[in-house]
Amino acid sequence: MIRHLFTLIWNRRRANFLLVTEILLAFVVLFAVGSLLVYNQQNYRSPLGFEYGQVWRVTIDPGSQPEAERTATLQQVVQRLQSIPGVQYLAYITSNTPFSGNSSNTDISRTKKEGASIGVNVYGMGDDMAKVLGLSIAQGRWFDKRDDAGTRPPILLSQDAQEALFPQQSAVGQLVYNNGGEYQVVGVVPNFRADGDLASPKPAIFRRMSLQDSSFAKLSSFVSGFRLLVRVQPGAGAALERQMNTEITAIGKGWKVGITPLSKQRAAQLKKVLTPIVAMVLSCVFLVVNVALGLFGVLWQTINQRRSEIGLRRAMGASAGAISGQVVGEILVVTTFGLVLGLGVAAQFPLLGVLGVSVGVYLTAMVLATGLIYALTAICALYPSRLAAGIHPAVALREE
Amino acid sequence: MLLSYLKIAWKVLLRRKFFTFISLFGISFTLMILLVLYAMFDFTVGPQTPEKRVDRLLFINRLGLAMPGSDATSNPSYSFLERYVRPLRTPEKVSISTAGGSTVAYLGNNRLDLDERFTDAEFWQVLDFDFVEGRPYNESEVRAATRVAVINESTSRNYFGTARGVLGRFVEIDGVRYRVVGLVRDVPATRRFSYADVWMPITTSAEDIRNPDYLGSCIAILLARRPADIPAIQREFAQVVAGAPVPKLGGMAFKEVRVYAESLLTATVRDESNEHGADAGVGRLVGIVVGLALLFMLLPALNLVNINVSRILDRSSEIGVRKAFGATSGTLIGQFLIENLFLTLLGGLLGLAMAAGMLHLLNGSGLIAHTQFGINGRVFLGALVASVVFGVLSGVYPAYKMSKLHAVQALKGGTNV
Amino acid sequence: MKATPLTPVLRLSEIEKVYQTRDIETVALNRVNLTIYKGEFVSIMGPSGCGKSTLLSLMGLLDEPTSGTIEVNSRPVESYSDKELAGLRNLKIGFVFQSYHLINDLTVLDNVELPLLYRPGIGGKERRQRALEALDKVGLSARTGHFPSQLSGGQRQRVAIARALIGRPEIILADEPTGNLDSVMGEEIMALLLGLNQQEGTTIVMVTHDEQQARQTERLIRLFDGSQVG
Repeated sequence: MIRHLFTLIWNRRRANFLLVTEILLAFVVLFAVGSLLVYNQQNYRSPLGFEYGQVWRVTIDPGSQPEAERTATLQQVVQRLQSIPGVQYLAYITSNTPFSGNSSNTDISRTKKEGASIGVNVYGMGDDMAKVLGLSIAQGRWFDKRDDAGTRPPILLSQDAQEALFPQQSAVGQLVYNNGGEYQVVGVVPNFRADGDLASPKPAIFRRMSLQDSSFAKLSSFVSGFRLLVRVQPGAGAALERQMNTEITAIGKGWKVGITPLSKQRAAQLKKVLTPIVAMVLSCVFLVVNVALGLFGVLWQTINQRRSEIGLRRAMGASAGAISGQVVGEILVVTTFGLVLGLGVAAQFPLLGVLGVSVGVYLTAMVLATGLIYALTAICALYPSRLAAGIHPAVALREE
Repeated sequence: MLLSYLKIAWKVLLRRKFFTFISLFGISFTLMILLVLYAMFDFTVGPQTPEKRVDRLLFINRLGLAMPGSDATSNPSYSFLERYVRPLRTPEKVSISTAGGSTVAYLGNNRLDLDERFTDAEFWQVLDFDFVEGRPYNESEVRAATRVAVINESTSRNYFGTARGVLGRFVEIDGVRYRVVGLVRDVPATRRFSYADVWMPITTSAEDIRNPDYLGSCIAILLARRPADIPAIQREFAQVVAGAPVPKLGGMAFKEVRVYAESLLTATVRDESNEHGADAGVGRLVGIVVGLALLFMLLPALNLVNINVSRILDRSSEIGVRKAFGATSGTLIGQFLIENLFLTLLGGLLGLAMAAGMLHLLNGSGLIAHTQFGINGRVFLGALVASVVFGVLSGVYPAYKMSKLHAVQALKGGTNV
Repeated sequence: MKATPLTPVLRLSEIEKVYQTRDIETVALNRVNLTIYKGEFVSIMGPSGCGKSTLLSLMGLLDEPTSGTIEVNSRPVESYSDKELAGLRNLKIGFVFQSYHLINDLTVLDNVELPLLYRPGIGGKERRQRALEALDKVGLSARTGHFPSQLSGGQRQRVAIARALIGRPEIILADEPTGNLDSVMGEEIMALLLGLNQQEGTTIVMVTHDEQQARQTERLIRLFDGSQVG
């Protein structure tokens, strides 16, 4: 029976060409959106590696204050902030703060020479950041006073950076190279995803940031100001925020201060990333509904035009079930033709590996899209097939 | 003739309500999505308040220092614009303002996020804001660094609790009190070179206006005397830039200064893309967008083609009669195309109404601050064009197929299409 | 009475029509010679499948013969393009079909106007005027605003005849015009056609199964297996 249907459809391939094309296109659309969703869902599910709940970001723009005076003022500011009761911990951070959309990339390697290097996010962080962000330490330790005396600048790796650079061995104590500089690994933290919930995981390295560093003040003029992350007491709100703002501007005359809770930034970032995805999913739903309605219409029309043929079949002894089975079977075979072509197109993505997305994501999306298209066509065929099965032989013959 | 076609089209639509529904659903939703996007585009770079005279405006918003293998890009600095843009002779007026930033005002223990922009006095002459109350600040106020501000209605409501009668009252921003001299209607955040909640004289900002670096955080807006002057201004500016010395920055030996005076569209794209090329990748972008729009229309169009083709048989008798009484294939193609266009135009109208609703929802959602997206003449025209393209895209093949139906067989009724 | 029929309207000489499918060659018409003169009422008879309808569609220029020539007003038509053939059909020929083939979505008046739509230079007003005249001739001037579905079979066929008349064609080709009607209505239609022929001098070629009707016409052509037998 199935072979019979296949040959039937194949012989009518010209008539079915448009339907096949439509199913092919619908599949490609579903596959693309499906890949996007699966990819984002996977990212969303992997842990961020830090706690953002009670953390506020403070940006400070020293404006036209001369560079030489900035660090001294900043030191005062930090001391003042630490004395405020609602503030638990605070630490410096580079401009690529969590959920900010800013990123800073570099390559690191195990050898001085160019070679097996990996691309990483690079963060500069102060000594108290482990407490501010609630970072757990997988191996070694976080930055502390001991690093003041170290011969080489200290560095921490994220778990995935460690696995890429030092597979199956401990990284603590090892040397890594970055832009000609030599760093000593002092610890490893779990994967750190400050790029956001939906961003793809990327290895990270952490450098120590302290006021003693000569590059610190210079940095501020490049990235328009300093940034601090502050862990505040649970329940702290606008009152504390305003207090911090007044205290800072009281010390740094003409300084501009911005205070934003990380949770708010996360929400803003999610909104920005999710809006186009939601718009795309809605468009996709519309396209699919559109295709479904069209398919339904075409089938319905075909049944109406083939009333006499179907009546004849019924008169010759075909059961109602056989008739509806044939209608559904035919459309599923047409669908299969479209899907085979569509899978051919979709297979190019993992084969060429153009977008750097794992094969698993594509496979999942393919399975999802295939299943959805089959389900959709079957549902669309259901009513017309029942219509066909309900055709009375006598009526159909009389219409002839 | 046309009337008779339309009459037939209308009758066919009414008689086959289900198919009409399917067709209109596909057409109207497709066009709605395209129209929403087009309206957003138009309300971002089209001639709207405050850039009403967009055909006479040029924007300078990005400056790149380039050398092989490396470059630095940012907004131009105040001093660069003052030195190389202000003296240009071809524009009627030049305005320099900051690229915009955000600040926080505290009302008791409540926090109010505000977007601020520091501008010169020309800013108000180059652009056309809708003043509800008061006036813009003038040149002498800017020169004297007077602490005055123009605010928008939302800020007035949020800060003072009223949208009227706030002139002379004070807003405190970054610890400094500004006297309100003007109140304007909200400007959507999509207008990235003019939008703000609070506008203040550039001389009162923390911006270091004497810093001689080229890179900074300002923009310039140029007003041409007439649209035809635009190329001349661009030429003059290009000459000036070519004559400007290439600065050193952090010990890097840059070879070239890249900065352009360009249309709102190009400047907006450049702001997003950070491209260095002369057209900021606008050409490629337009190509991609048009391609995607066509691709997006393809699936619903195919759908409509499928439905139309499957319904040819319904009308074989009509086709046969028309042929028998002297209709040529050409006239038949014309008839069915017109019918299909009628349908898509109807769908376009529906799509337009749905787009208006959708844009209303978007405005209400606050997704982008202060948006007033809506349907205007250009969007309407866009709907018309899109409907026609869609109608032709989905109508040509079925019409051709219908016209090729053999008259004798069509009249017999049963034929394999 | 009417003039002696001498002016030829349509001349078919040595017409052959062969339908070619993948395996089978069917000869539908075999060397048919036939001339229709102005003012004649000719009927064509024969059993099912003898080629009557094929002959009629050839005469109506809806189809092309496999070989042989068709002349309209002493001019062979085989050299005409699709567009010119459409023009000829519009000007010279009016059709009446067994199953009426009215357009269900148009009113009676609009249906009758249809042939004039394809004739350049005729305005809406004139179309309307002539459609009303034609409907008057078939006795349906009271039904102009109705839709075909609101009419009886006989009434529908009258509308179809009005539609065939409106273009003032030189010849009306009727394919079993009474085949779908009961005998009373069939006689009405036959009477109408005869009247048109005798009073207006309209040339009519009619395919029919009805021996009685055929005898009412001036000339009878019998077909058998694609060949002329009488």
